[in-house]
Amino acid sequence: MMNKTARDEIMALVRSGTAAQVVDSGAEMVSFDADEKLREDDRKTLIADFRRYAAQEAATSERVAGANDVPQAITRYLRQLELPLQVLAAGEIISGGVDWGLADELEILNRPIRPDGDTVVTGCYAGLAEAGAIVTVSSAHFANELQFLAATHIVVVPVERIFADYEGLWSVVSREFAAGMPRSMNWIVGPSRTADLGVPSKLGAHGPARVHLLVVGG
Amino acid sequence: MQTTSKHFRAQAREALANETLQASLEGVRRVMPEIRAAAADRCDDFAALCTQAKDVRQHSIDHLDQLLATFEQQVVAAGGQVHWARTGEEATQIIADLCASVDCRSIIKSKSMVSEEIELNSALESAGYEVTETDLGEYIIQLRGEKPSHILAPSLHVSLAEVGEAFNAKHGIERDAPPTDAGEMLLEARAVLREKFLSADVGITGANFLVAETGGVVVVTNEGNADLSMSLPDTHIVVTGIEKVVRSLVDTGVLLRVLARSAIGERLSNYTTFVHGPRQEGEISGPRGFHVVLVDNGRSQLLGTGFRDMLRCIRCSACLNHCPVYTAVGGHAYGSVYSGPMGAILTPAFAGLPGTVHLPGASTLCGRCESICPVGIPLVKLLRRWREASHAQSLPTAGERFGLACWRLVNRWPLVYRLVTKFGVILVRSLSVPGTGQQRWLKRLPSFTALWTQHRDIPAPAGNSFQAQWRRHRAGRKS
Amino acid sequence: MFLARIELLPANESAKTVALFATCLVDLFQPEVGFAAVRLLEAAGFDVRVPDQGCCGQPNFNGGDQDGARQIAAGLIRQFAGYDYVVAPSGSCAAMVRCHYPVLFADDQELERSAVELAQKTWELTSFLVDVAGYDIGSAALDASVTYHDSCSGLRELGIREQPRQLLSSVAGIELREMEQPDACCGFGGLFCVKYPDVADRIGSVKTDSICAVGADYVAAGDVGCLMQIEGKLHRLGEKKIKVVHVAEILAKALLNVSRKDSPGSVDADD
Repeated sequence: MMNKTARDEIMALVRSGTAAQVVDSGAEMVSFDADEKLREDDRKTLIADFRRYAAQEAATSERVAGANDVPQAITRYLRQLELPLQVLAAGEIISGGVDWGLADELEILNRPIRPDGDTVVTGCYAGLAEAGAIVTVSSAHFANELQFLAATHIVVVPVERIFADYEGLWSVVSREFAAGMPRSMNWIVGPSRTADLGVPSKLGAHGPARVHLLVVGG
Repeated sequence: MQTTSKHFRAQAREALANETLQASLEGVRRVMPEIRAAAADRCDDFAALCTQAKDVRQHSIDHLDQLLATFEQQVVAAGGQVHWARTGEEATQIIADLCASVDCRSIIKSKSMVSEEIELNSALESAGYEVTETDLGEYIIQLRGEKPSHILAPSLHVSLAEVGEAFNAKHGIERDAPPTDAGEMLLEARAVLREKFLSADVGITGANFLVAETGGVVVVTNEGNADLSMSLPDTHIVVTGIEKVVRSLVDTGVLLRVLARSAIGERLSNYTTFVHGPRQEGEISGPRGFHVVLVDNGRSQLLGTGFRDMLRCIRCSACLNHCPVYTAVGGHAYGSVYSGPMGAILTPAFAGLPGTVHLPGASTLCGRCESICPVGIPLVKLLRRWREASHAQSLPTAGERFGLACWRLVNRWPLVYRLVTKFGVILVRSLSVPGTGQQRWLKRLPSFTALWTQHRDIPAPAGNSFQAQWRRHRAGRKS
Repeated sequence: MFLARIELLPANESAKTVALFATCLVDLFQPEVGFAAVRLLEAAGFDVRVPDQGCCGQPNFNGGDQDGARQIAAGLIRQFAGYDYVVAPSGSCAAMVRCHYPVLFADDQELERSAVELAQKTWELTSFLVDVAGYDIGSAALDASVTYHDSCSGLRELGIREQPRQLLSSVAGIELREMEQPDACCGFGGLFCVKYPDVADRIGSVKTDSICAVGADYVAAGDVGCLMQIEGKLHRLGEKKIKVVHVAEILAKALLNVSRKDSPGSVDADD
């Protein structure tokens, strides 16, 4: 370390400080037991909560039956908003499950993102029903900054990856990333916003002004 | 930490006369308690969530040494570096050196109260770097050369028109008049800052929490500016206080549940990021350098004192929003980057009591802050504890100390109280004027006491005390 | 110093004794609140005594003068020993005794024991009437609208929220109207309003704005400190329609309306 003395000095102070008042609250690791085998009606509530809480944060969402319905759903959504039928598709979403050949009118762009104005389609690692949030993780296949540079972010959320609460996510994370955490894990609920230019909050502060969730399956 | 807290009285008067600020504060006063209460009510048992959050933070504080050591180990394992700074100056020096080592020209920053505390921007600017704040509120006050007036909404005191004027003055866009439309200003700021994001060499963020078990850094925003700050530049520097570390990812979830609800009445802020180290093998983006600067700056010394509980603070700002004093005068009156009840406790700890004695003094001790603190900090007790320290160091005015000494003498024995108050009342009543019925009023007091009657009347004491009347009444009953 | 107790004759041999801790603000500024409290306590069947007394020591305690607070507290503990209950028409002074006296004497076992003993039998007036005495105000009546301001210490240190409202709403004819944020501080704060009068005034204005917006006949509170702050501001504003009263006064007044109809005499009914 560059300045070992500072480290040692701080650690010594911290040690004597913690020792000075041993008031161990006895608070133990919060235990969790994510029930992964949800009943069908639980699953329905989960999806409903996920969509409702996302909507409260100004995200839009729709249910689609299967992965191959995704291109049509994207086309419909963009057309409705009169946006160009062009998207950048990032991450596993390109390879995983979706047959992009079914997207007749939808153009999958193969170029770097422009400073502003692009629509980006991504998959996600998980959905959090508790907060209506999606969770993405950076990887060799997914440059996570795309979802912040986009003007519109469309997220494909497989229903089987929607967890009831944070604890449910962490139990899966601790298994699937046992070897080490991804560089960046992003929880995103709704579009970017700011309250610094008066009430009500304005959408699209730095990140996307629109977040649309395609909830697939279930 | 530099403060102007010794001028609290004058700063408060200025704030009370500032109509723009007062309009914003009225908004805080009316809206924020309501939305926090609504968010709490939507939970099955918000009090239980707060108890969990308190336990998580208490565990952190009780095991700070172990958690910091684990955190450091895990950051290094993930390919990052940890730097330790005893003081603010040490921290700014470390960061300036890091910038120099990567041949940096421009820096982008997301909002960090620790960076305000250590006055990072001015240090980096005087080292020759261009620093751009990217949280819109923080950007606005940077353009105006001001300090934050709220720990979460730093530009709370600035009107929309003033934002337009600042943009007009600094953005170099030719036009007839400053922008007035919020949507237009948002797009303008977005465009200006987008360019800064794409060209910056170093991104500096704070941290809401550090995760010991994984070496993770958790950053929460609503704008998404921290995510751009930490994913676009080639170097990411995190600057934060040593007390922010918690045990596990599960623990952060517990804290996140109460943070947004307490701060803005939402379930979760829009962006919550868990970042672990620099770009990983195979990745085509992400910073190559990842540094965490852990700042002590007085924190470790609070551990062994009666102010230890304050280290649980998660900077949600609910105590500011519920404080009658903060919502009357705003943050600048405190003369410190930390304001409201949490600021009145932290500022004397970081900057010394002699220059900041007004801050714990200027509280009604109403306890509303304590009743809504999501991590159960006994704020009233801690404010009073500073008052005890200030009394012990003879910091209050001679008048105040004399008054308390007299009051102590008068009230030790009821007979003394009876005699002294009898003559006191006669004296005070001689200054009063008649009102309706029996009531007399003090409307204009002389000399240094005149301030008390500047804005309000004070009911004059009654001619005969309750005890005197009671004695007569009882004597009458008996006969 | 026990003279006061000896000179009093018990009104009712079997009744439990309540020592009224009038508090210094009531004693010096609003004696009528003390008499109202006596009327209510006697109506609830208690034998009310008034030991010689001064302040509870709160100004010193909150001013950081722990020694001073200890000295004053020791005197008060002595004066109020030996009664069944101690009742104060003030949430803030009752909280001082209940919550803070016991921790003041951590270094003095004997005084600590007495402090704890006193703390356990000390109550704020409305919570005593409702929670301890189970007092039913019966057929008391008053045609008036009332808005109630929650005094901070009573609310947050003693949990007094429902009791005064329950008493007020059980009076026939009283219409209780809530103001915006009744739990927001009035800006009194003891020494605070003396040291920072400008800030205290602004906080007070916010409170009086909420009070005026309700447009009730009365604004009631459980602490004379708050009442002085609110009344002083309203008086300066020239607001004459809203009467500022202690909750004990309005209840005692309602009681009087009935006792005039139903039975002869009021306070002195037991003579």
